[in-house]
Amino acid sequence: MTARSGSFWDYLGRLAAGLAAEGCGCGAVLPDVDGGLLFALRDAAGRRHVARLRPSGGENRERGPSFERGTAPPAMIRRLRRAFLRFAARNPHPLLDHRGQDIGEILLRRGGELPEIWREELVPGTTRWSSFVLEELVPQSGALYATFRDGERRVRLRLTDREDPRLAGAERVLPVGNLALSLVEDDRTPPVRPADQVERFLAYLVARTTGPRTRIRGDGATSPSVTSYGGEVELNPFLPEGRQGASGMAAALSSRRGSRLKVVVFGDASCRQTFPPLRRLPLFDSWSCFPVGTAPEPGGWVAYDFSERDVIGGAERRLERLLRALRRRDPAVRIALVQTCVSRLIGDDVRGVLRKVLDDDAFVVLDPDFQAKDWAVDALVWPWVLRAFRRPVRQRRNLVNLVGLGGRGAPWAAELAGLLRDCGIGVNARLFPSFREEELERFDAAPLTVASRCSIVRSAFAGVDRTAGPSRWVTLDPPFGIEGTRRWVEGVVREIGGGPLRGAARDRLERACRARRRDLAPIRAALRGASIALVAQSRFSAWIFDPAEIFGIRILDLLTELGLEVEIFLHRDVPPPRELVRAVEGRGDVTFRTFDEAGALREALAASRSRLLLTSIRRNTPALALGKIPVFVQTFEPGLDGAVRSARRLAAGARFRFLERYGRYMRR
Amino acid sequence: MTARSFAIYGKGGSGKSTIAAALSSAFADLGLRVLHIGCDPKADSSRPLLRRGRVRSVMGEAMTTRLLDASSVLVRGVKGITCVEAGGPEPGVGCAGRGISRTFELLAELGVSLASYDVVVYDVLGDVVCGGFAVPMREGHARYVAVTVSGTGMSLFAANNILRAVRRFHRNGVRLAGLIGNYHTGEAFRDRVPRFAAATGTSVLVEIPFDPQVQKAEERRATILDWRPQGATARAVRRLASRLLDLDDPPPPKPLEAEAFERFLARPRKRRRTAR
Repeated sequence: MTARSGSFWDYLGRLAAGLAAEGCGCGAVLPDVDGGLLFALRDAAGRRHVARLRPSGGENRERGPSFERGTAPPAMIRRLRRAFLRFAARNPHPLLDHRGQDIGEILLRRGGELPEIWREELVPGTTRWSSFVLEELVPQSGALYATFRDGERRVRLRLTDREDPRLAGAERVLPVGNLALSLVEDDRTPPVRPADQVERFLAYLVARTTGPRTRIRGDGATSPSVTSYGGEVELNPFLPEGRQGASGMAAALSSRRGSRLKVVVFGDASCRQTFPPLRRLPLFDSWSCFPVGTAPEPGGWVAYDFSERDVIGGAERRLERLLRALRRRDPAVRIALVQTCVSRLIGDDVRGVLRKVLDDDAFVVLDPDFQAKDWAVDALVWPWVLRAFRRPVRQRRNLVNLVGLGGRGAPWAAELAGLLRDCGIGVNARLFPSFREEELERFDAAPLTVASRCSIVRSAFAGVDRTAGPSRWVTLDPPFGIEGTRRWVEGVVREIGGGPLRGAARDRLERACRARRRDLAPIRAALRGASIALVAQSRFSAWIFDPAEIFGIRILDLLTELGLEVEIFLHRDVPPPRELVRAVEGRGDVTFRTFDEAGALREALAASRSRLLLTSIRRNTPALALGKIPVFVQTFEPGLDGAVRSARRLAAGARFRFLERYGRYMRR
Repeated sequence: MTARSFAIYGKGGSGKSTIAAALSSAFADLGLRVLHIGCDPKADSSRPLLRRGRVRSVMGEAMTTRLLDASSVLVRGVKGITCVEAGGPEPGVGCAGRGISRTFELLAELGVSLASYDVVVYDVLGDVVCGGFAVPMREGHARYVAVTVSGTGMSLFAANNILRAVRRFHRNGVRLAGLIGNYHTGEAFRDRVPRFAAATGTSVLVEIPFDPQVQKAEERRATILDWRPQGATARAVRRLASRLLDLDDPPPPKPLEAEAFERFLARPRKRRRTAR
């Protein structure tokens, strides 16, 4: 903003000259630390006066500028008011507009990017106050440090919460609502002229861009997860994040950096607690506790803090104001609005307000029915995401969209793209559970969209009209295991119209598969004789045999390929799935056992030689007590490299003897 | 002395506000200091007690001003009755129930002492639709609850619901004063009211006959006691006031279960003999 409009000091100089030209006797205009403006005036008799333009935020926002006249005659203030309005209308400056009133909290990430609200106002090397230029802006230890420099002179300021204990020892503190600005270093020689008072400018800027309740917070002691996929949040597609409900989805959407997509949480302050990225925690799946990334600065997140007044009187008007503000900043903004319990209970017509401000395709309300199924949020959001960002583009041959295999940051993404590239096929866009807007915009450039054959993907995209776009949708088994990956590549080639894979492309794929089989051989040797137990205690736990329910994994084929024998424990009442019976017929590496009650199962498992046990229960204490190593579906990764990595994990688990001796102590 | 407090509940349109305002007027005639609290977003309960002007509702003030002052929401009406209106959101938005709860919190924060009154009358919107509208009972503001009924199925249905709430809050010291038979829409179902009272273990405090003067009084922003002080309706309201003041510790009501209520409604009514 300041970067866009030049120095605010220069602007105020022009304002003073403009007001003087209109006969207001204005000599100078200075910003006040609370967001107001101070006008140095001189009347016809030469007497000096100071008038003050009130901050005009909050409740008085819509009542127009209001002046404190001090000793100045009323007529002079009336003239000043008119002249000021004329000048501001002809020469608008963003800092005259008071915004950010509804911001409840600003989160600073150590070493991370700056909060979006100041991304345009505070630009190192560009933002300046008179001759002082902003040299550096660093979020650190829950504070924002701004360094201004003018030649040898240096001023370092710290913006913190007003309650921050560091303020106790600070030399000079300027309170700005709930925030406070303090001087950390100061090379200026007193008395400091207004032209050098950078703290005055910064306090004004903060006051104009935040609200009276805004607080600032650091990322605390939580450090980023070591398993993070780099800067961007990438959800593991093989985790049922849909079960996190609307809040998980909103967290995932909101963590998209620099996105046009804004997530508005329409509820009270405590609703933000449901957003892992905003708490600076690694984003993890609640089911498996498997960290799938860390969140960057929550640029796309807009807090809405319900007050008592909103609850009683309805918050539609404030919501509309918020949406209009977002739209002003970015006319192409896309809004995902999380409707919280409070908002649902008071029955605000949020869709009506959204329709008033935005086009139908520009918003989605994350308001799944309380009784809805696990994937209700996915089914709501993904078709919308596709609608909201898709653009008409020219179709290009030999491009494919991949749905259900993660985004560009997934560990297997590059390998799969490489395998397809070797066959002359380019990956155009990846969708679910991550996405990139620029990829979605060109979604229709690919003549083929390949979706993974599993229930998550089917549910999430059930609402997509696959005939509407030019891209043809097909469903293939996802590429798990070496054989599975080979079949998948061949399937994509066949579907795109290339027929069976032939020639050099086929040779390249075979070479890659052979190389991974070589890598897999020693792991298979290490796993020789090891087995894994698969337990179906009831009809509902028979999911482990259904590929559709486990991300498309054909578990028996995969385990065998990775070198494991399989013991299946079925409750007597569980009818063996027909596919399973077919799959195990004539196979010596799969054995069946039945049991009729929990005690019998425990005994059977205790007697079993399987050291690994496939389970969906995060802390499966009965299994741990029996010395079994729990293995989750998430252990398995797609791709050729993924197969090797999966096998290594299983081998490490099979070698792990600790639980055999001490597992019984983990019963509680 | 602790104020005696009465809440008037009942189906919408059953004459709660009319009776509550008249009751406040009757108490004032007895020389008692009366606080009349309207618990309805429409904020029209105290209209007959003010003659002119309008109370600025607590919620209306709280929504528009930062500093709420007791003097801006407590208004002196006829006969020295102090009137307060809870108010609430515009129709169709927000949560009126929370508005009622908040009103009582605000009155306490503003230091409005109920102990400085002899009688407090609460006129509560319609049925006990949510926790907000149960606040006069739940928080122990109103010791006695009186329910207006006209004898129609729907008014008895609402009354039965209110009785459930009273029974729930009996543990908080809330007592059911009884039913007020108000036949302002006609007396066709008059016989049902005493039967319903007997079936639910309560009594009929008073029966107010159909009286066109009540409507006229309302149009002139007056209570029936001020408009026709010697009329049958005014006498009934005075009787009601004195019965309420004589109440001691009535037993908890026995609201009917859904099926029993249906059976009650299905029972043939006694036919009135008409002279030929």
